[in-house]
Amino acid sequence: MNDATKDREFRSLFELHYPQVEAYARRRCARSADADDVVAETFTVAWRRFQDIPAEPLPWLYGVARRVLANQRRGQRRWAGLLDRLRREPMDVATPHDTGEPVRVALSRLKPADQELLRLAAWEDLGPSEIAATLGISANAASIRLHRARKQLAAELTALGLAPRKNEASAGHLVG
Amino acid sequence: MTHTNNDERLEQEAMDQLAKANPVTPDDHDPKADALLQRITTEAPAKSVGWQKRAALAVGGFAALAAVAVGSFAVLGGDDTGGNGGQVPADQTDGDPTLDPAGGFAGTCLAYSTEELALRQFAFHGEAASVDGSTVIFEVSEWYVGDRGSEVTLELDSSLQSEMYNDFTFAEGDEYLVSGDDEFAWGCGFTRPYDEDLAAEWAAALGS
Repeated sequence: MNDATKDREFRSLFELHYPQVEAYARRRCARSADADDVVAETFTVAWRRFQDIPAEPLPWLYGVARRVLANQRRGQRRWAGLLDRLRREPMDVATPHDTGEPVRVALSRLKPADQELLRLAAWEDLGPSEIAATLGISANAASIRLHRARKQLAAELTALGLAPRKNEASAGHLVG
Repeated sequence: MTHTNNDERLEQEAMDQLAKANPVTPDDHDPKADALLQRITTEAPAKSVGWQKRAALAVGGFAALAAVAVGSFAVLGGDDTGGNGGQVPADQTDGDPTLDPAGGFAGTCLAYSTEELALRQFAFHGEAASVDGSTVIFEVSEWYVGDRGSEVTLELDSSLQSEMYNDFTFAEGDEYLVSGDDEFAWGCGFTRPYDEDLAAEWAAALGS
């Protein structure tokens, strides 16, 4: 691929997917500057590795963004840890969206990996195969984990008294 | 246990609630987008630079602050704003990165010590059963801390993903001492090829 073709195709990819990647980052960063860094780094990686981008680029981009975000958070945790030890008092690293609306409280009670799975499904509107591509797991594993995480989220909402009580009359009906 | 229609309804309602709690909707007219596209396509250096390095440099600002705090970092990256917007100054894209004695990239490495090791969520001795890009499945021989079972799948920290930053690469069948947080194995000396003396040091430091 020559430079002009790469440039043209990258611009097309960027214009098509920038809003989704930017929203992905903003949903997961407490500070807009951090989200900007994640987006910039993600598309810089995409530019560098343009030949590696698959036909369905969005899950790949989310996968890159996820790693960039993890690197960023690890850096923040290390920094916070160092300051914490200096100050000898607790310091929270930004973990946005884990308080407030009841469903977010319920979500925050799940394991981080399950939280991300559900966010990808509910906020990025990804199906199991796209989630699998984003997380680097098999589609089967994504389906199983998604099914389990949905159950856990519903259970947490119920435990918080925020879900409708079970209709005893319908209990026992098998789905499908 | 049966999965009832009611269970399915509750789960769908939970997902609907979560979807409604989406804090951000995509913005098709972000004015920052044009500037970013221009920067990436015109200012990115021609020489290929591993994205791990740039990802690592993106947190250089934090490393810089930490270095000021404890003097334990060698600072190579970052600017005085604490972030570089994903851009790597041209003078940071050439030349060899400095390796610290633990085998990590000094620019973003937290200096290895048993005290820092003790702060990791997990540490174990195990064999790399499968190496697939940045994902490694380990068969664990001994957990020092954070037991997750006999097999664990981990993502490699950015500093572990490049030969530039390490004096070893992962190979199936080889044994390693691995530590990290969440689903990531940390580099910078916190994950290394197995060594009997080092294993004894980890066991002693982690109280196993």
